[in-house]
Amino acid sequence: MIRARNLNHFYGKEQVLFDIDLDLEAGKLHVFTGESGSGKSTLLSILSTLLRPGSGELFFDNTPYERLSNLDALRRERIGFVFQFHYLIEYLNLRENILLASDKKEPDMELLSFLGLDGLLDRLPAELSGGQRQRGALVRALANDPDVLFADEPTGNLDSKNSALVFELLEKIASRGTTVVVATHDRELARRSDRVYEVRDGRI
Amino acid sequence: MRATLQALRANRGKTALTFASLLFAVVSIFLITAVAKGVVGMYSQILQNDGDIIVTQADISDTFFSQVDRGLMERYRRVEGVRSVSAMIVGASPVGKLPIAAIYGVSSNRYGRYDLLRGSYPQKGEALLGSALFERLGQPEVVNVAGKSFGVSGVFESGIGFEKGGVVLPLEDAGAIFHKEASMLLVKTALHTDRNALVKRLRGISKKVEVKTTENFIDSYNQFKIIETSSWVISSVAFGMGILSIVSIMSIGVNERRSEFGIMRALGIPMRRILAMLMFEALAVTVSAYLAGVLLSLGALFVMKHAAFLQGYVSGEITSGLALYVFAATAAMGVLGAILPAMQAAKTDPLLLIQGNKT
Repeated sequence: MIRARNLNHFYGKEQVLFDIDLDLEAGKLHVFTGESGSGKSTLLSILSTLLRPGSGELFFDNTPYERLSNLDALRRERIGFVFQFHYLIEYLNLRENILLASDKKEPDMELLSFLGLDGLLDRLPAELSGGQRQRGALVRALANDPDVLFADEPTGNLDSKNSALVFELLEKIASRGTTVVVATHDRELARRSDRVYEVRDGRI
Repeated sequence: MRATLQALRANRGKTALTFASLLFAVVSIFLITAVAKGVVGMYSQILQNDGDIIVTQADISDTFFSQVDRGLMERYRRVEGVRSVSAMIVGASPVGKLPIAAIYGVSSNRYGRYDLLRGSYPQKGEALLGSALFERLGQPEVVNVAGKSFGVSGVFESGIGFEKGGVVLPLEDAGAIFHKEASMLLVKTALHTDRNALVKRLRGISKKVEVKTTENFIDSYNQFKIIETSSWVISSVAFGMGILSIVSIMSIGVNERRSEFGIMRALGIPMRRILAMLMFEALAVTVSAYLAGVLLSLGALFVMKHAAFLQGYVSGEITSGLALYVFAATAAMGVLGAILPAMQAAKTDPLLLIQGNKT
């Protein structure tokens, strides 16, 4: 589904990724582990098209990154992204945040119920707890039923109960055929994944 | 619409600053342009009343300095196509307790155009006061003009602020004050007269004067050009200052919202939709500031027109053309202010925008 060949990336003159070769199969739960600053978040951002790679080749369904003519449509229709921070827009309520980039009239009520967010749709982010915001961000990432879900430390700001709920959901999504790519410190999630990649000093 | 209002409310500090900048720019442009147009309009109206052709001293830049021989009146009257000729002195001098007021010395055949509210037209040694000046001076019976006392013969009403706040004297009395026979002669033409041909004939009578149709005179009068140019320059500066302050405020606003735009782009919302959203927000502020500016300017013009201490000299009108021009200028300010910083954000990768700040 996503293939990387000889990927390198730089912040200024500093190289942060070195010669990354990867093949992410569809419908699997892929986990990148590594210490803070190892480069796993940068790699996730490049694989999800949020950051242009410094050099190398990136393919999405065999189409090279350079030839992806409509990145907006790709991100909107086929990719979901969850950050460590929720990044809900403060002046929109949860419903408006979830449907921000979706044509749907209502969010997936089953998913909301599973994540304990039903009944909270009219609340502003400031009126939600940290866990509720993060789960809301997850629902937003899944609003358009993406083919690939990227999650960068999705449980980084959550307590163990909320983390377990998110893990369960990620597994469930992967089992339905969605490719799930997660960057995490969490060993439990790594243990439960289909494939683990350890990123160390910008290398896999 | 709801999201726009929510976004504006969420950024209320910047919204208020942008609104205030636009409001000041709009009011400045309106007032400067309206007052300048008012000045030009009032003086043009004075000249146009009873005058199809204006005769002033040759090579003089301002009618205040013009001196014309009154003897020309009789010679002009004999020219075919001339219906009547009147003379006028325009000047300014201390009147009563006021340091300055407009003085009009007019030949008696012009008296009829002043609508009497009370009393009668002035004889030698008398003055006819405009209603605003009469009230401002406390309804006097005698008035001192340039150190000489004049009995107040009557009070007149006029729609022209310069006249309403001025004094009308018999031509000879004004001539004694300003040491001239007339500032200008106003020629009224007979019906169906070819004015341009008549101007040529009148020019042939004396080389010391300049003869023009009133329209030509108003179009070419240097003082009007100076006033109009100054108003354009000042309103352009107000426009420029408005743009700069709006661009800087909106740049700060857009920078503070980088992560919001980054998230939108990460979700696949096209930049054009984000730009449209910003433009819509900018237009909402712009239109509100414009409407508030119109109301504030109308209020300010009303106060200026009726403020006793201004003697009715400052007057202005917001015409539909001016309103349209200011609306276009305001919309341009708002849209440019929004679009320039947003275009800069459009070039940045979503992740870098998101990392710009965390709320």
